[in-house]
Amino acid sequence: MSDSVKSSLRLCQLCNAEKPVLKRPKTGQRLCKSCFYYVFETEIHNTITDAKLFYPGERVAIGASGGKDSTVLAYVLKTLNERYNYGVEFVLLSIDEGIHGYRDDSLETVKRNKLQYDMDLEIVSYGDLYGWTMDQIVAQIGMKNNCTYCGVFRRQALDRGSVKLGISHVVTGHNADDMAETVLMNLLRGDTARLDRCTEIVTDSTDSPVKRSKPLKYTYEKEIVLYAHYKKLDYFTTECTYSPEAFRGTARALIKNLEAVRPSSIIDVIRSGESFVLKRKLQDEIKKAAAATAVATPATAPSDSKVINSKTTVPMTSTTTNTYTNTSTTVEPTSTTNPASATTSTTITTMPKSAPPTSTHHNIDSKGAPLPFTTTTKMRGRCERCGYLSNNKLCKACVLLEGLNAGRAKLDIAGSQDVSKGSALLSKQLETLSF
Amino acid sequence: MTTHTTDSVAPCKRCQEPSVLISRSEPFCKKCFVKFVQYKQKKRMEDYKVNYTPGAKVPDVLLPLSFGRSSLALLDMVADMLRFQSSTHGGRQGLHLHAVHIDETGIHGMDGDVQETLQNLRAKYPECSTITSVKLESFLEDPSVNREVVKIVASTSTVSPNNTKELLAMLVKRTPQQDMLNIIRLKIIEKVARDLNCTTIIWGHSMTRLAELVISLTAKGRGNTISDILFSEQSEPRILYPLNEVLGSEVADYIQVQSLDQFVLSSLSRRPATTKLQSIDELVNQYFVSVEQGFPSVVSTVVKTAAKLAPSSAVYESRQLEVSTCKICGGPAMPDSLEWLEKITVNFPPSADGLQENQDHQESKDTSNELCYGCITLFKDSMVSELNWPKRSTKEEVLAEYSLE
Repeated sequence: MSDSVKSSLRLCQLCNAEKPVLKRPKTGQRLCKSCFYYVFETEIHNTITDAKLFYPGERVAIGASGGKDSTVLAYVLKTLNERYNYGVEFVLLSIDEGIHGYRDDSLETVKRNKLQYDMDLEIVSYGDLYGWTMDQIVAQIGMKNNCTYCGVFRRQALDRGSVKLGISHVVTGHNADDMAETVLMNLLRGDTARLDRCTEIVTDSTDSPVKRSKPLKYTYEKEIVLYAHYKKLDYFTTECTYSPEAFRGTARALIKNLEAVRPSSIIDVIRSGESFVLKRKLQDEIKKAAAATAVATPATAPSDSKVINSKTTVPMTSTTTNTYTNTSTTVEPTSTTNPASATTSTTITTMPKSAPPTSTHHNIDSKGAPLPFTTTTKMRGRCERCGYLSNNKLCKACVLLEGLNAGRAKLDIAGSQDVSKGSALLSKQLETLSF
Repeated sequence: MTTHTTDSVAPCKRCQEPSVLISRSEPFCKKCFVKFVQYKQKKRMEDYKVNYTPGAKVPDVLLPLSFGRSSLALLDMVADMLRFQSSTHGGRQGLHLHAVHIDETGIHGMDGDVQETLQNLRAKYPECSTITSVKLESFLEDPSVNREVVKIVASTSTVSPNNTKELLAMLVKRTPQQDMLNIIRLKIIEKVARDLNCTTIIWGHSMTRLAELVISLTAKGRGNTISDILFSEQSEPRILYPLNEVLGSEVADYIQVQSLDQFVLSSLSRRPATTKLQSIDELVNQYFVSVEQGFPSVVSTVVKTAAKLAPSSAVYESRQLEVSTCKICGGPAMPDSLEWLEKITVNFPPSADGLQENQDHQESKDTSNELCYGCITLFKDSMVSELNWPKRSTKEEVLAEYSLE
């Protein structure tokens, strides 16, 4: 008896057949490789189908940095796309911030990923787009606040890169640890504007032609590391040499400690974040609902059209494991073939295959491709100078650029030769000195 | 932040007397500091003025007294308020104050004598209608108290807990133990409030403590109840935090200038030195202690931000969600909690043969449907006990920790 217990302890805690190779960070279970791969991938698949992230025929850009998160994201999406027939075409989209000794190396990784995963690759550089690389920006403004520039510029660069590719959906590699950190940061910094929205899987401002989503939002960073390691994925490990702000570091340390005492803390924080509703927003919601019921008959049921998820748009007939996916969805898998239930889902099922499920975006053309950011369209809510999304006359990037360009004259007079080399590279070289 | 500058030459900004401390970068003398802090408490309790309406009932108010600094400071302030009311309104009072201490000496020792301290407080504060104690163990002895806790704890084990100490021991880890202890304390306080016909409960929590609670509730998956617990405007009985604008450091200063140190008692169950063994509440407490030095405004930012969250009942009502009451904590239990958890933490192998696992799966579903997410997490945590978790996650460390090759 005790022998059999002993031997079973040595086996994978899920399949009870294979030798375990790792302890799962999320649960502490000892798992074999194939069970770990399975749960890791299935959880991401569940996240995708639950949020109805993709539709067949969609072209989706993967924001690829060459780091572990985006590399694992690209690999897993390719795997799931084939396994569950998402019918999605994935393209790699990289941003070259122009940080010597960091981004140039990681871009080499992305170029290898392009070949490994057989995906197209588009690289958008700050230098081409803004006339400034991050190295040049840091040379001018110093080591403080440069993350602000990088963040504002990257957001726009991703959108513009996506528009250039004719794609209206970018997925990024934000993981569960990032999400939890953001929830705590928003509380600690008092960022009410983002508090209730930061955990949403899709960030989708109504006037933007490009939506963002985070399929890895429930995936632990440590599991991404383990997955990449055991799958022998080719990724780039160095962190950005321009250090992040100090306060974020304290939130990150807190998350690490919480995870150490209770591994589920990371998803617990996200669960809390997802439940946050601002009083102000709730009042708007109630007013809207009251207005809607006053005007029309309450026939418009809340969008409980779960039919669109895995059951309809993502055929799973070819899989051996479909019994496990969405076991608790209220809509039976047969509902797509059952004409009786078609009333709730006609708009979805009769939609042409290539069109996005929601064509409410006025910035998307009939084929689902995003309209470009130009000043010629003279649309409302656009930057006067570059045509990018902005509530003010100038977008954030143009404001930052104005400041940078005003300072450029001075810099030229100083005539420093080292500007293009970048202080990140310099400090990296200094680190290797042995004296 | 408060610093003691007894030798400081700067006079009190309000009365020009020599100052004894600095709070919020302002020098205070003892008298003005006490006034400053008491004003904040009085402002929160201005509904409890002396009522001259004939036949008006003087409300009974319950003050849970842990012998920690905050609850003692609040007791002192409310007693002072009553003394003032009584002297200026011919013996009339705006409220009847009942202080109750939950005696936990059956679970953990205290660094002083509980009964003796209670006796001393009764002598010091005759304005108080009652100052009593109730044993923590009464929670299980009283049949009117929710016994679901025992039932559910027992369902996770082969033995049933006979008393509160055993029940807590079965939860194995510090975080679920402290969580359960907090739930039990709340249930006892609610019962005492009912027994004494108290219409209001006033808690001693400082602003710092409230900020800690916001973060630790979030960390424990109980973020949906932040508004209900900390900023509730319409609960029965009414819940008030009169010190919600007083910093933790100011409470400590108040205790000192009012010479109340002698009444402060703390548990002998000390915080473990290793981070890994601490509870989530203790970690969050440490976080605020360290972060307050570099970023002093964090505490008030957190409290102000959390105050903007909507109460859960309003959210569920507006979104027409059917929510039951958690069998353990009594908070809102979303029906989707377990489903959500299982989708993102898949617990069965690739093939359909995992009979054993599916059974476990079913079992957990039965009880967990009636629990809120926070309590599901509490029990999940306590069942996994022998694990070691890494603190940092460079690839090498992760591999060293998790790879079995």
